[in-house]
Amino acid sequence: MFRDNEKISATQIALILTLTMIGTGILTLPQSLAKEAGADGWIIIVVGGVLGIALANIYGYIVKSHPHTKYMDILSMHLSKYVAYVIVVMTIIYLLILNGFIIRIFGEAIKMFLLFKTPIELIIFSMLLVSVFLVRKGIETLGRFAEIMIPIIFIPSLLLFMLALQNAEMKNLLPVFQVSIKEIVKAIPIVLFSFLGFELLFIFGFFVNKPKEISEPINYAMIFVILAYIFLNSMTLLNFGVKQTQHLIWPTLSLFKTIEIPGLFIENVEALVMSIWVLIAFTTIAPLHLATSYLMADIVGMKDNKLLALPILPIIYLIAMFSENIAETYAHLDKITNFLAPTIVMIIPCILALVIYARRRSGREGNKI
Amino acid sequence: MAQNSNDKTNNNRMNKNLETNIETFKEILKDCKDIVYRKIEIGKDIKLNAAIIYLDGMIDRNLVNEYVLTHLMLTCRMTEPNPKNRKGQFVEQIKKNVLAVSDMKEVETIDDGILNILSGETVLLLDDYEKIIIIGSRGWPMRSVSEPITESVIRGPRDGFTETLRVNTALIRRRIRDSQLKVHAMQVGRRSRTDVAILYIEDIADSGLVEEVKKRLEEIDVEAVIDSGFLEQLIEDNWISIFPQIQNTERADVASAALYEGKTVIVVDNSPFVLIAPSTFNAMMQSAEDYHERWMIATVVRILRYFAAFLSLLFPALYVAITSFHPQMLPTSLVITLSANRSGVPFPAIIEALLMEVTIELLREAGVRLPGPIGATIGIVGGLVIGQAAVEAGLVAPLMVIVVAVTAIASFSIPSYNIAIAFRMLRFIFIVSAGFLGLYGIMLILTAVLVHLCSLKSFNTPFLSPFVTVAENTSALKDTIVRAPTKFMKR
Amino acid sequence: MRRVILIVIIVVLISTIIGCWDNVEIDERVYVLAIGIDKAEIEKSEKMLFTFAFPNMQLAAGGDAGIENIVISRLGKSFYCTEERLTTRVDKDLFVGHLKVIIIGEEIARDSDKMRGILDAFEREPLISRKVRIAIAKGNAKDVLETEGKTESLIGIFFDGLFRTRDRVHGYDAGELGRVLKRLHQYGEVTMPRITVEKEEIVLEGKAVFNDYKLVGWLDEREKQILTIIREEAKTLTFSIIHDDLIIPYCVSDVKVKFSLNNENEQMKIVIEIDVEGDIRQYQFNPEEDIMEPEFIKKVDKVINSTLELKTKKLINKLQKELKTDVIGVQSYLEKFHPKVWEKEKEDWERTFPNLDIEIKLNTKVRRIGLTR
Repeated sequence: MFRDNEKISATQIALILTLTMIGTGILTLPQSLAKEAGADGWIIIVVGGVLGIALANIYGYIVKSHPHTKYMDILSMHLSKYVAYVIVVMTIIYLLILNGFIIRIFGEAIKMFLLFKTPIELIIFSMLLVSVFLVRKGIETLGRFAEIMIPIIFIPSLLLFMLALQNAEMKNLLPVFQVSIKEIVKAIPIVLFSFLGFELLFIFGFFVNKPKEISEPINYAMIFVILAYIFLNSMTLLNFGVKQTQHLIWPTLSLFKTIEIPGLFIENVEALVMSIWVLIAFTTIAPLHLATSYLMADIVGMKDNKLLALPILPIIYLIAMFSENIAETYAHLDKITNFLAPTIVMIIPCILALVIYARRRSGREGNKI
Repeated sequence: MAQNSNDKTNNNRMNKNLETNIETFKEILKDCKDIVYRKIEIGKDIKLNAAIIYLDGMIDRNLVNEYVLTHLMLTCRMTEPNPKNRKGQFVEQIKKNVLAVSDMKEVETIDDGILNILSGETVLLLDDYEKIIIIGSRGWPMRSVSEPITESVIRGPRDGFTETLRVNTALIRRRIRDSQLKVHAMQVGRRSRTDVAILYIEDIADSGLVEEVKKRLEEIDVEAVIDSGFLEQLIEDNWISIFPQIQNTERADVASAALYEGKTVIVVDNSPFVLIAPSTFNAMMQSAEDYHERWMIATVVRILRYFAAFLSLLFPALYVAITSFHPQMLPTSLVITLSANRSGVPFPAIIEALLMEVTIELLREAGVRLPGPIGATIGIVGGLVIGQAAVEAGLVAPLMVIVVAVTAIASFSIPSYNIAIAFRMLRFIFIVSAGFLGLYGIMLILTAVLVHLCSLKSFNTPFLSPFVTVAENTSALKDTIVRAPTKFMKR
Repeated sequence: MRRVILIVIIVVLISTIIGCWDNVEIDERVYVLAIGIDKAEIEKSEKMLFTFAFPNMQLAAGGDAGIENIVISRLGKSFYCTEERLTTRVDKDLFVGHLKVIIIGEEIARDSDKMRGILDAFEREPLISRKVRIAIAKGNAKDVLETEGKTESLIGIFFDGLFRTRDRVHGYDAGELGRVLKRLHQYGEVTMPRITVEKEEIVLEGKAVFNDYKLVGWLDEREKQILTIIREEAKTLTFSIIHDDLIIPYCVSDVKVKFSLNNENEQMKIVIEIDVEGDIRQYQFNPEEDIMEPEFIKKVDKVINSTLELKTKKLINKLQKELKTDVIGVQSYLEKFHPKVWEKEKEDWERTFPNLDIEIKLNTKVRRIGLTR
């Protein structure tokens, strides 16, 4: 079982998950939050983040109690083989759709800022090709890749954000605490979308060489993502104020249009930012792709998931090209985050965890007797 | 398999008769005029017939004349044993008391004997004796120890390896006077029978690593190994990759340092380049000088080096991408100047870049073939003159010449020649991708290259360590882009 | 493995056949540095007059200085249509990525619908940086663009320099598109720099006041200075104070502003406390008094205070009664610090503001007086 010899460390999986999460919502988060919650977006992020940490720990529990077991096997152990099959198929569909839409959004952003006349088909296709390349290399490579990407992505981003402070007005963060509980609850799905990605813990957890140790890095990862999003949201609001943020489709990218580095070689930093953005998007798309190929291999019974990398490409491509324009893409995406995602990400794992817990309990009691 | 016995039909054993044996040797070594056969008589009363066979040009004549022949022919007469003793003891006496040579052994098969002759040893055949006595007499013309041409430093030792294996191991031994330094010898190549030595420090190096190295060397099945570079490709993890996974060096101090780090050093006879396995990208970007200088300077130089590597890979591609696709990135006055300079240039930027790069490559290749000072001058003069002429002819934009020149200079500051070449090749791919998809193309290819690098392993060590094993091995980071003060470096 | 290589080769081949889309040589583009928008002279037309200014590269290739400007005007219904139609006359790609200045003619500025269309065009375009400057021309934008600057021949760069100098001297980002858009989004009000041509020279002074996305009035340079103080945006401003028949320039160096809301007795009252620090730059050669006496300085201070206070009150009066626009930032203050009050007031702000009771408490100090006594 060549593929299954691959091992990654606990830190590596935490890094992979961090990178996967950042990349989904990073572009639009400030805009949706400003719309729903004005200047109080950070509250919603915190709430969503706490929820996320709770979920991540539930996942951790599931993975830790079944070291080196595949997702499908865990499911069939506790919930019967047929249910497991259905759930895995649903997860595959979910991952494919999510990936497709993300890559479409990404392609649109690239087209908007970097390559105006190039057909978006080519942009998406070429990105997918590189993703196939990584998927064929396997998860060990992905783990190492994630380790390198973290400094490459975050250090320049941090510097650029710092520069955005030039135009910041602290007053833009007021007024605070204007949101009502109802509004907070309504806004949670938005934030949830930005945390999507940690469900990959199930699929990659199989490869972690010391499963007992994953809790700590995972929690750190979640906290890091929460802080990163709060930071991002605050910087956007500081610069633009609530109303303007509501009006921009991609406030994060527009933020960089306001940066000026006097005396430096580069005048408009957007193109530079888009380069980093390619990396961020790639570290979201490729893990999703990889997870999809592993699950598919499990369903079909293949030992080696390498061969599936390429056939999945046209599926993702078609999904990406499915909507007519960007408005439709986001509309479809909203539907997913409101229905499919919570099911796969929240409900099923909770049920699973409960079942495991119940069984353990009864098992222990059974043993005592 | 290191050793193969040529299946000669006749048995490989020696005959008791001296003449027969000599004939056997002459038969196998037919038409080899540089093999010399010298028949002698040993002893005054016993008069033992003997012959020495050696390869002219490979032996130390003085040693054979003074310490073998003189003793066998003259001194033996004066100290002849009691005639009552049997012949067997005479042979023992010859071996123990007469042959005043420091290296002597016996072999039993003809093949071994021939191998030894071809290696420069002298073979002594005795009548009525079935074994062959091998006398260590190697001495061939060799280069003296001098400064390695490809890796010179400003401060540091200047002894480089030569083509003789024994000299090389000696140079390393001088720096590691530890009994734990082991030298494991083997032979590679069916016809060349090249001597190969694996050096490692037993209690530092990982035993699994050493076993793996031995295994891979044993598995080689080729006719000849001419140089260590050839060997390198045979034992690499991934021969398809454009990146080298085994380091090579001509310097003794680099090899010794590697041994101290727990790596293995493979010395190949006839090659002044020794191999170091395993190796990482970081190791290849280091120069020996880094350790001889002060830490702050070394750190700054290292950062500069990484920057140079980045430039040598991406600068032309970035030029193409930014000027053709994203001119909004440049300051307005620069854009206007560039635009004015470029009007009249017939080619698009990508063709321009490729043209200039190819020209530089041609210059470089030519410079390597030409002897010494001429080669260097051609490189500089050629570059300048051609660049200037091209600008004036209106073929390329002046900025392009600057870009290409800076790139070439940057690529020279990469310590490892192999990596520099790899980057040179990749540069073209980047230029092409920049021509199609601008910055996006560059980023995609860069991602692909990074993915590939992440997947590379050198003898079970990830190629991008220590960048990549941060969690387990954070302390190793202090020797990468920065060079931590000597106090913090244990070795 | 082989399959992947095959596909990659196919892709590369296909793209070579189709060609590269965005690859445009740097000298095949025309870099529009300034844009002007005016009302079309034709009656009842939907069209506007767009003026594009860009440098002529061919001449520059000759090697000498003196890059010529090309200014072309075309009629068109929208910015992008006109830009496209311009390519029928210009042989290169028009590129707005290096746009420096947008000048809008007065007549168009008074038209709310047209302004909203124009502003959106610039906000939506990813290539146009938010650091582009926008100014309103008194008269025609075309005239402004056709005037050459004295110190720098390239139009766009001249304007850019003009704006930046103003930034440096006066200390805030004059007319940056990003800021303008931000404020317009929030309350529909903003001030933009005014640009005019006087005797063949380009002059950037004063401000245009916008309310409800259209031009409602002008402020001259003096009024603008006071406004910058109230908005806490000033860096260095010089006022000439008259005292004892002497003209004393007072140079402001630091400003602190504090708003507060006084909500007793039903009537909403806004109190604006302004603390101003500055230097005296000129008095009189061989004066009778010794300036370095604290008493004397206090006297001068009082005069400064009253002069500035008068000016401020006049400005606020003008803003309230004449222009009916809240550009001093009362809305912003209420929204951020008294959200509940703002909830009530924001519907009716148009009518509340002109009658709002605003009290100014001005506090000036003299800090430095130069080298001599």
